[in-house]
Amino acid sequence: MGRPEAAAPYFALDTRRALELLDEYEIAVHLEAHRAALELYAEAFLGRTVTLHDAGGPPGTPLLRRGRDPRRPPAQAASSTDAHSIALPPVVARFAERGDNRRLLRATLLHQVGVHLCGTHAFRWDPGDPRFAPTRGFRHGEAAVDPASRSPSGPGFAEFYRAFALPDVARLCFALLEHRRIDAALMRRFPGYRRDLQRLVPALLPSGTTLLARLERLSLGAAAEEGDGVRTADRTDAPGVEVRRLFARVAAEGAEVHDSAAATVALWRLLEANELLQVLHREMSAAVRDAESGPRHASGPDRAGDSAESHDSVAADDSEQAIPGAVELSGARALQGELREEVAQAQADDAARRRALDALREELAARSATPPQSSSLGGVEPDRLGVLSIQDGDLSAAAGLFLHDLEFLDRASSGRSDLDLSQWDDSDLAEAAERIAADRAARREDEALGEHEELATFFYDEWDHRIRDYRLDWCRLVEKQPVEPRDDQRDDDFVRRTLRRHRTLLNQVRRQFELLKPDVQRRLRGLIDGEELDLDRLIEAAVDRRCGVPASDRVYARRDRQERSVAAAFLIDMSASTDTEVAGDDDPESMDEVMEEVASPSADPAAAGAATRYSGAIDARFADFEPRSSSGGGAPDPQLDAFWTWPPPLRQGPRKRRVIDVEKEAIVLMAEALRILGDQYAVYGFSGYGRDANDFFVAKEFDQPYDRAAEHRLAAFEPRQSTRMGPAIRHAVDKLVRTDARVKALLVLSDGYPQDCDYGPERGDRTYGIQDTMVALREAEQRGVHTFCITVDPAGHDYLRQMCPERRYLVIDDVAALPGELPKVYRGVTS
Amino acid sequence: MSLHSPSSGSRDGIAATAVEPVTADGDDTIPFYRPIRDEVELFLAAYRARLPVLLKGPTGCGKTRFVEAMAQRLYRGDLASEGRLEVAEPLLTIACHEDLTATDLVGRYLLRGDETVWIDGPLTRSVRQGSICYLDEIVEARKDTTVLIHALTDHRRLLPVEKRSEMLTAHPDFLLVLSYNPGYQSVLKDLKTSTRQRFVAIEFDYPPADAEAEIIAHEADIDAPMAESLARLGERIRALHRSGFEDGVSTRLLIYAGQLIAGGIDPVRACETAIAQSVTDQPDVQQAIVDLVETLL
Ligand SMILES: Nc1ncnc2c1ncn2[C@@H]1O[C@H](COP(=O)(O)OP(=O)(O)OP(=O)(O)O)[C@@H](O)[C@H]1O
Ligand SMILES: [Mg+2]
Repeated sequence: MGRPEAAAPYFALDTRRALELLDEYEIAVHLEAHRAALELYAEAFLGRTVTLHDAGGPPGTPLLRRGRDPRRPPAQAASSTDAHSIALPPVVARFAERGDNRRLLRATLLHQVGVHLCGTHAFRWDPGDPRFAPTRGFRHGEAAVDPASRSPSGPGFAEFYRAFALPDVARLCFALLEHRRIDAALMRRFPGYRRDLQRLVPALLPSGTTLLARLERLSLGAAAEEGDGVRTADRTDAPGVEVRRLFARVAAEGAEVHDSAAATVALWRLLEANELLQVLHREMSAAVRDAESGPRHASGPDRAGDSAESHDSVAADDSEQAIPGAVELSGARALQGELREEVAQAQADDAARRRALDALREELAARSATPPQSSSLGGVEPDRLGVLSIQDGDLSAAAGLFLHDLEFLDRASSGRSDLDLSQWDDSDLAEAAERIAADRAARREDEALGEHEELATFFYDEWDHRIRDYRLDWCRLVEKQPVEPRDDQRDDDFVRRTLRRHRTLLNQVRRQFELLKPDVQRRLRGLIDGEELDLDRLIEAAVDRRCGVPASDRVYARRDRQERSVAAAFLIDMSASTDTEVAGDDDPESMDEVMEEVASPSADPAAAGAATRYSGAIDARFADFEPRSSSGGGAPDPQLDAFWTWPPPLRQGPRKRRVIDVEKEAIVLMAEALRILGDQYAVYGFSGYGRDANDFFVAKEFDQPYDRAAEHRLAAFEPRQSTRMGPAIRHAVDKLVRTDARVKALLVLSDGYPQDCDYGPERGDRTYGIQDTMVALREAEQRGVHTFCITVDPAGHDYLRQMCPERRYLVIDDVAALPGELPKVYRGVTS
Repeated sequence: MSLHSPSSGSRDGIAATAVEPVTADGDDTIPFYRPIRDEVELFLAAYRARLPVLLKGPTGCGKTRFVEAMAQRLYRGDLASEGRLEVAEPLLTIACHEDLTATDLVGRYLLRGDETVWIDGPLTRSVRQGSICYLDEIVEARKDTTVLIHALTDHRRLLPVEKRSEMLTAHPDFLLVLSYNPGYQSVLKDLKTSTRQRFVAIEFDYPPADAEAEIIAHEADIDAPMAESLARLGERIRALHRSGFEDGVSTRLLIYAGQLIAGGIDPVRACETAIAQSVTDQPDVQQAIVDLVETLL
């Protein structure tokens, strides 16, 4: 190929398919090729959707690029799970047989699922519990629990580990024991897991006589060998027996996470009594050094989480950095991965805080909406609000924005029972203004990244109802193709997420479309007229006649051979208002709810009253919240860093869907369903500002394949400016007319009135835009294009009736219904 | 062309396959039915009041088996009355399909030599005898069929036999039972409200794992632990419903897998054949099910 630089993106785009192919021939097993099946597998156990991502990098990093680049061998990443998702190694190549590698990948996943099933994250530390009684190396509970860092649901792992003189060693001991507990529980419940481990573990057992290796062997459930204990073989091994007993205890039926924690204390004491704590500590450090001496710098800039993770556990560190050839992931870690217990708990706490904050915000919004305060929000002068750059002077709308931006100012209110803006002093407000400005700037930067490639410029007439004539070449329309987003910007998951969210619907739609498919064999019976006689009916008619009963004359049959010849254009409104969030609709991706159940068996932070309990306790951690963690203010706290900057879980967390997301989802579903019918279709978006600047975005043309690139272009559709429908409709119709399909259809998805800054004599005048749109739609019908407008504006009925041909529009007041309605409309319009 | 009817029995397959008299050879044992909730009490109460019954539930969850068991008890078993013992066909099952016409249900004239002979359809037979008429998958039937049952299912209990200009009053013991699979029917096909609202609806679903294990053990004749594993497998596969795998796996398929296992097939292979391949054509889902099988069995 002449352009090697074009080949690389090509292969990267088709990552999944390419990998599936490669996967067939390879011994190594690639996560990407098995992800869909494994996600379902995990879901079957957890009862809710699960996101699996690549433990080697941020989600969405193309594997091919990471894994196949000779300069960057695949990272030996360990599996793990936090509150939201599960991370698995991108490639498993440990065994010489492919089947074993697949088995290892599956067992690794089930182990991580086991972390949830076995309630690891539910751990809450009770320093008063006699099982955690203080010893020499174990600091007394009270001192260890710093009231400032107390999480909403009580002391957890972080506090527990800090109670030990060597927290890293304690963390390691807990992990070893907890992994054992999980494996034992899973093996009891799932015979297949037992079989898999029996097959795989012998090859995974670390060799060597180090204490760490011995403990890992026990953690993997290795049968207690002679002399395999704590001490080297030349000395009596009484402590070894004791250690084995601890592992047996957590492996027993009914053991809980608190038993692992208690066993951690016991193991700690045992190691301490035998002066082995330092030994273990040294061995851990050595493992880390080994890992770091590898070609670490090669792992490059996408390891944004590096520094953040180093605290997590020593074990985590070496696994994350390790490069094959340097240090291989230890057998225990290859199977059991690593715990992210602290991160998971922090996430659960964060969720509780978020809820508290939401409640607070609502309360405040309610207060600011009451009439007496409408001119001065909570006592703050409107001109002082000016520094917060509220736009358009719409106070009630601005209040939401304002409060949203102020999340990190909660410190200003800490210690107070509610947020009272009147009590904020100038420095509070100045700080707020600064932060908001920085945030806005960052956001703008982001927007600037969504670049577009201009394809061509067109001019269209516009109907002016006042002069009852067209204004010639009035609108300039620029056709653009969203530029393929950079890897790190691109929402690789959008289509997959959508398909999963709507899988039920998709199956239904597929079935319906299946019925639309022209079926050559289909025989229409009971016709008055047709190509052949239907023998059954004929006989019946003859008999009836002979009996003197009125006989039916519907005795003909016909073979139906209709071929579809359909071209459809979907035109998506990308106006700013499509940024509106869809009410009461959280992304179901996260495992938040699972976590909440697990993490807080006693004190449910979601319970009523939680809001008041935490409202004053938006603690230092929250006050330091940097949305983009760019400029670090204050003392660096590694745990907090990890909390905020570990990218996968936080970005994968719950997010609100906006109108535009639902529009896009509807299109993704249609695209899937249309594979069945084989109709030609195109996907366009439109927005603009003024008659000179109508943007027309092309995600897919009629003759373009619906491939990854098209998916990415669709995913890049974002809310922009105004809704000047006329030129967009005319342009789409032009394109439709050029297809050779017998049936041509234009489906417009919008969320409100057509409007633009100069769409009519004055801004507020809607008649002009409605009239022009109506005429544009009529032109379309005249040119043989069926049109259909769907709007999700609850008040839309009136103007749609004015604008659209009769029975050619639909008003949806519940946005979420759009993906279900669109296919129905499509069926109606095209057949 | 001769106007002689083809061998009359096989027309549209109705007489031959759709009607399954339970007591074909005087076998009066009641079919095994493991009650899941209060469906037995509900049905018997409905029968006492002669209220038409709609059985709602996914495929292979035991609806047909349930009606068979109820019919057997009411007509032959512990609840049989003098009159019902006389009924030759206690249960008439009609599998509905697109081409099923009102004529097929009610009856038609046939030619016999030079004579025309009226033959009752299964619905008419049931109405005359006073048996239970079970219309399976009613949504599949044509609209004119559903209208036919309207007069039968209100207080009139009448069946119009148009071709003979006859109005049949239903036998006091007659009961109409419909089945309906709410997940399966699409927007295209749905029961009309006026039809739905003539029935008491009993909801069925796949049984909880322990009950299902009992059923599997009994039906497939396998040991309890294996039956239990199969039931747990079913439970897990059904947990996938949020991912759009809405049909889940039926009790029937779990039994099939059990029967293959009883026949000496390796359990994993049996499940692959009877379950993974049958429930879906999507390779990802199949793979996930195979993984589940390998883990749980
Ligand atoms: N509660 C139960 N007691 C005994 N057997 C049952 C029960 N539930 C299901 N079965 C078994 O499941 C099999 C399938 O059930 P059945 O044929 O009654 O399903 P169905 O609900 O009628 O399905 P369809 O809608 O596909 O007709 C039966 O043959 C029987 O072996
Ligand atoms: Mg049935």
